[in-house]
Amino acid sequence: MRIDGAKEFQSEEIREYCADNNVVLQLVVAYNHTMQARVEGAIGCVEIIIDLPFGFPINNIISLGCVKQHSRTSLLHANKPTRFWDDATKDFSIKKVYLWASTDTQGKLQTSHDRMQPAFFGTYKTVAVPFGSRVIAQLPREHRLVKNGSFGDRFIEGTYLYSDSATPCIWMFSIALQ
Amino acid sequence: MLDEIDNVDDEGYVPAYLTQDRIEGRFQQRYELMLQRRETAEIYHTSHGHCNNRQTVLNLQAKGIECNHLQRYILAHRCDACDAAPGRRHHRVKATTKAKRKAKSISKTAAPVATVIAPGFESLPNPHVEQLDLEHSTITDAIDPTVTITESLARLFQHTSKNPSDNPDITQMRNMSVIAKDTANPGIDTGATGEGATGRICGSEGATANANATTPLFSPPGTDLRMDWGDACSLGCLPDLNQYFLLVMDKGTEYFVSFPTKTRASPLALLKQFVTLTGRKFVFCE
Repeated sequence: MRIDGAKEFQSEEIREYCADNNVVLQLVVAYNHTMQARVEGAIGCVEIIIDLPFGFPINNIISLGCVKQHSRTSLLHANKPTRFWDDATKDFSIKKVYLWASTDTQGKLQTSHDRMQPAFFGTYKTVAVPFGSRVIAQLPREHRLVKNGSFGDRFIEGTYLYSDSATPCIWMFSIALQ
Repeated sequence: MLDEIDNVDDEGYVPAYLTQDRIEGRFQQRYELMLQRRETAEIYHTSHGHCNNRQTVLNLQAKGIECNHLQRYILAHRCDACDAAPGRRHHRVKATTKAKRKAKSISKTAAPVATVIAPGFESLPNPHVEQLDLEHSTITDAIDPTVTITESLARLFQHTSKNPSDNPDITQMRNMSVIAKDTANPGIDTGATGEGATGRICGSEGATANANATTPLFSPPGTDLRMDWGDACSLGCLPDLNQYFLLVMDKGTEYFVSFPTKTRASPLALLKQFVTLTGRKFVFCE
């Protein structure tokens, strides 16, 4: 497992955990983002390009935004306040892993989820929903939010946040319950 | 009772004003179909996490969804939110893009061509050439006195970019005799520090390394993890809510999970969550 020199990653408990599980910790050189480029690129907090050659013009430097970039776009598109950034981030992570396909070495289209099976228990219907879209969920008659089982409302309205990773359900933000 | 039809042409006659309506109706139908397909393309784009258009087509094909009739609409789709947040849409860099950048940098950093002052000037030996050759330091390594410190450091430097499972121990890196030949070459590959050079083989296996450099190397799932903190300050976090997220990525499969958190104090708990989520224990490869 490759990590950078952050203080939290070098704690004693992490070292013990890794020793117990036969994990080799590989610390990269400090302040050298390119050695963590894959993950830094996924996060989008690096301001340099992978394998940026020496002497590359500064004006052409663009940030490697993947998670952050798409989270920002999702928030913009859904017109959601920025306090939902963590939900947008989680949602994009799940969508990227579950939906984005790439060609493997044998020329077959596969997603990361396919390669990492079993990794996720959601379905296409629960994942492929735009972030922040309006969702209406049915409530069972016995649910605590249902006040009148016969004539009262038995639904709840909200916005889609992200798919649950352990069950084929979704997380939603209820407008009524805030 | 209706009369029998004697002449089909007379019966199929459509007045001129009605023909014009039919043409307009057909145009209207086509226009509505176009709008519908555009809308479908937009839904696919947003529901797939605002990926680029070509990626959307690939995703649909991978899921087995029929999209031939939508392909031109998906490829031509423009998203306002994507335009408003410019930047890279993917964390992987294409080999062609890398090659272009490399060629560009070489052309900029290359020395200007010397002007020929007199014929036969090039054939004259340059007295300073021998002085420009690099030499290894004579200081020896404290652990292995038979090797100079320059060579020893060069080996460590090159092997930090290799797969950790190939070199579980630093002492093995120091004692690899294959690398000793390569360290004599002063042109240490600066690209070896990059992520794309992970798994690059040095020394006598350099030929195979060049061949492998173009193709991605997939490690088995759960054997090569990358972990780092992300700060949400650029996304606009609030102080009393989550401010960071830990991103754990499996390099071989490109599978990653983000864990939003308020503090950076307990990465171990989040790491355990990753293990629970993926259902995989770490595997140590020798």
